[in-house]
Amino acid sequence: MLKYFISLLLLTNSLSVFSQDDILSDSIPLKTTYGIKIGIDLSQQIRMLTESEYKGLLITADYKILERVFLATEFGNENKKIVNEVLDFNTNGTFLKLGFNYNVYNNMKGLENEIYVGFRYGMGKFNHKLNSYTIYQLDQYWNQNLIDNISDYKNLNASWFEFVFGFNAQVINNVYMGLSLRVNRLLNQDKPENFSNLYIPGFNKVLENNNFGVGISYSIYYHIPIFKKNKK
Amino acid sequence: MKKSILILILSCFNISCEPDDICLSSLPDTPKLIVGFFDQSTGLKKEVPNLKVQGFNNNNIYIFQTTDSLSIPLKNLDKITNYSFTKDFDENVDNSGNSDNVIINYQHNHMYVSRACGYVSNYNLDQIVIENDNLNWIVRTEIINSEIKEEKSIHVKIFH
Repeated sequence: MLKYFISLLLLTNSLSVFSQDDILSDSIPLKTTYGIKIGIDLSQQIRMLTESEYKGLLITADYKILERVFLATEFGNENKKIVNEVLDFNTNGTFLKLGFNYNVYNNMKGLENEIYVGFRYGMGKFNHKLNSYTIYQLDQYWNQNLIDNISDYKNLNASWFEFVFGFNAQVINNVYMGLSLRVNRLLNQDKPENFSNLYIPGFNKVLENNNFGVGISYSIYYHIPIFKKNKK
Repeated sequence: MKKSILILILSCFNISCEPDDICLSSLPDTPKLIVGFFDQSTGLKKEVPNLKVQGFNNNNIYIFQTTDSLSIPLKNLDKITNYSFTKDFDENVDNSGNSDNVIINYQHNHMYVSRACGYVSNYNLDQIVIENDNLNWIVRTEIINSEIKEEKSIHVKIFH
């Protein structure tokens, strides 16, 4: 819950950046900088503080290939322990996402902010370790419902599609902060025998009655300029 | 702009609150063993008067009534469940009635259901043994359906 408030706070703060007006003389030809933005998703770091038994790292990068189009990637790993009333399991795995962002924002002169829509194709490889489970039995006469057998479900794969909506704002020279919201749709998954993929690293929580999921990312980027090109 | 982002964030909260986390009681839970009592000569259903059913090493009486059928839970960690079936039991008299020991041997299979319900257990009956005590009221047993997957019909017939 906390992570949303922090994100929201930073979101409203960084939006004010858009209203900054850089005074540029008309005589200087406008140039667009092409380069790579490399960043880290801080939402994983925030989750490590707020969620017990969660570890994650997500590196994000994008490369401007056209005036408004960015090639984007994210990769990382997650390790999460989930305990509810009836199940206790760990999930760990790595993931890679590839896709594009399209900047819909019309920047003021000399600014390089982005409000974008985009998509990603994501794939993950992961393992589950079921530590214990409960037998669903309303009758408690024998009270033998907690089963402590450890089961491993290894080398499972999944792929999914993400619709991304977000923004990146330049806070200081070459440093960007960004927030994005994602709606994910699971395309394909290896179903473990006699268990289910309830959490997929990179995808997030998986629902059993539909294929959709949601995600949020809050990232900080460093932009490495490579070359400049005159704006058309 | 701020408003639309806020709406988008709020709509994500709505999506994340899903019925996935509730185990609906309409889903069947782990089935019990259904036992029917039959007359040894006619083969028709026959009530057992004042039947007391109690698990071996269990301090609670599971059922005490006059009935021609009952359902009893099986253990999920062991492959043997032991019950004593006492006919003509009287609450006010110690060790009253005729008590027979019923030993149920089976295999169990834990099957995944869902995030909220966990697992259910299904059983495969191997045999039912009535411990011989020279005064058995139970004459014989017959396994009708060895697969305990639901509670729709009788799994075991007990003749008396």
